[in-house]
Amino acid sequence: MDDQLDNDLKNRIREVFDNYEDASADEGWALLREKHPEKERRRAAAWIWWAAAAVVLLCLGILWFERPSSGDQQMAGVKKQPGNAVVKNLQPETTHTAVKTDTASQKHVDEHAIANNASASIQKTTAAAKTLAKPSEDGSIAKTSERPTTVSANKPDGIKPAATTNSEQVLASSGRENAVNKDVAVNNKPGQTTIQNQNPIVPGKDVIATVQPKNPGNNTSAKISVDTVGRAIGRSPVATITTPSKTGVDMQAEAAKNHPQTYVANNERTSQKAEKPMTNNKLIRFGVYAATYFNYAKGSNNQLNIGAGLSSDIALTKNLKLSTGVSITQNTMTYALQPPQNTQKNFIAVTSFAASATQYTASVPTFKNYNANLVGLDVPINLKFMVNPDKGDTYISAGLSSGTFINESYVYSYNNPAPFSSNVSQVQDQSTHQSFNGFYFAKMLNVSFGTGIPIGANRVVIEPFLKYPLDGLGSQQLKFGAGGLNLKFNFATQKKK
Amino acid sequence: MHPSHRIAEDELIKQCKAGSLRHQELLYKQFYGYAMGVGLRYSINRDDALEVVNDAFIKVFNSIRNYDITKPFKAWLRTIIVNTAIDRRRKDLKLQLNIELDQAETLSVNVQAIANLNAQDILNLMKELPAIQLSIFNLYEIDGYTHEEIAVMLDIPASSSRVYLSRAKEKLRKMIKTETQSHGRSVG
Repeated sequence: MDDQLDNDLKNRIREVFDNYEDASADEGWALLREKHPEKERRRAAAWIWWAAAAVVLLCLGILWFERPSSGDQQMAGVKKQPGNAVVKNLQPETTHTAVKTDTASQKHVDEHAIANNASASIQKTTAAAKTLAKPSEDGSIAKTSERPTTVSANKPDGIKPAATTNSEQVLASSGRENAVNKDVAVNNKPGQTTIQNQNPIVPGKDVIATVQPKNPGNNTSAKISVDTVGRAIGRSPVATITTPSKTGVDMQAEAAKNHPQTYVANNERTSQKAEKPMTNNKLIRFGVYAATYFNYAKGSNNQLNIGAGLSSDIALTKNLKLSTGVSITQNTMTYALQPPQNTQKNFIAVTSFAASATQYTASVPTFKNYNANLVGLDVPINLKFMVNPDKGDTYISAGLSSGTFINESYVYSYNNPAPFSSNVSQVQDQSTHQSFNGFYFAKMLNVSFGTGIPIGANRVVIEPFLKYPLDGLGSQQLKFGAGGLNLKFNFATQKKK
Repeated sequence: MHPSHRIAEDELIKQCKAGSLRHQELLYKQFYGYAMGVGLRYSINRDDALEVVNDAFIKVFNSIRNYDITKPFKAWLRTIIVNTAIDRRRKDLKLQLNIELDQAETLSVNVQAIANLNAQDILNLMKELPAIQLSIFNLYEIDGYTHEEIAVMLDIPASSSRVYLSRAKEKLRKMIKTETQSHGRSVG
């Protein structure tokens, strides 16, 4: 009798408490979080720091590979600068020196120099020199005795520049001397030749001279530097031509030591290069970004999520850019009161099935919550209007997003009451998973604005954004959006020399 | 168990193993009722039970990486809750080891037939048991521990565990019989 009572009581206690249901879970969770603050934020913050470090390393790596090689800089250190002269040894084997100052040739050289944006390669300049070396009808090509060097000087208006070369290296042949001396006076000094231009110089036009190096077999370089410092104080500018006899590098260094004017001019050119502002008119600029945002949807709690992606800006006009890219984003929604409208029919189907499974008509499952977790690939196409492209990187942007979802996970939770008991119920879940279930096109409106902060040659852009859904997304057609902050790193790429 | 429920539970545990706070919350809310059912049986009141449950869940989250997913989660959770509750009440249990209370005659628990006992009825009954008897009754009768295991857990001889269990059951029987008789008289 007692054993029967004990067994009945034991079984009843097990039955009741194994299926015990308590509605204060939210309260309990809040209490737990109050007592034990979450640690995931710290983990997320650590993740962001690691991601930022990775991005910085990536960008440094890109800059490292994109930088011009040192050899290129030395040999091509003849960038066209206003008031600067350029000398290159192009054809050591030939015996012709060409000094061409006629308008047609100058125009040709200007076009050539502009085309190369003051950074002409040796090959390109060689082509120009070959063109210039052809005898023209006006006889403006002067032959020197043996050794050719091409001198290219860009002369500003109203200034009489003088070029200096090694004394024996610029020699005008007697028949052609007049042609040379019409424009250029050669002042021979030991180790230096000064070429004085007698005529006013047309802005943007070049003087071309070929100067022969000492050793024809050597592939040496010569350089003319215009004394712009002197020009600034009203003195006739002096262009210094240095022709290395051993190697271009050694000779340049030596010339820099021996001739203060050259040193000053070289320094000036170097500083001009350094101070040359980063051009914002590149056709395409790339960037990487990380996003932190809240997902929002009608009936859902706002959920904090993160994403990351690549972006590219294609310049259309000075003020307008086409911005596109690709990003991976996570989107989560939690519906606690009722399932989203588009999924209610699914919920009804699920609960009907559950109700029929219980075989008790009184046990109707009730909605508990609905969770959706979507990891998506987002491809935005935005138009970006630069507010003031000359002064900064502030812009506003709008466009549409397309994409797909790498993974979709939906979980219905519902209470399934136990039969014949009013206070005992069981929580049951119905989950659905999908991957790459179709591609949605232009179903998300993007609006954002941003401003850039220069960091070296690159930009860090802070961009608050809003994504507004134009239609349902994913296999369950959930209509959700996002609002948050993009942290972008736009890096400047350089053309290979 | 419903197959989809099982899938969701596995997914929840997998995500919790990965450290997802959101899934920890889902896991907590999904098993909160069950956990409270266990905790209430070992606690003096609801607040005490909630603290037991929350402490137990913290242990679950901290050690879920080591949880063997092939074993039933509920059993693992129950073990943690029971241990947490016993740890919390160890001091009380020690104090009550030598206290003999026999107040069965004074009880006025509103119980009906055992089959109709609900959770509150059972808790009202259990509340009348001394803590040591309540713990041993729960451990042995409901959660399936042996007297040897209980002896280790409570740091008492196994024979004492048997005695306390016997007293707890006798007390419960008395309470139920008393109430049944009183209910029968009132109905008759």
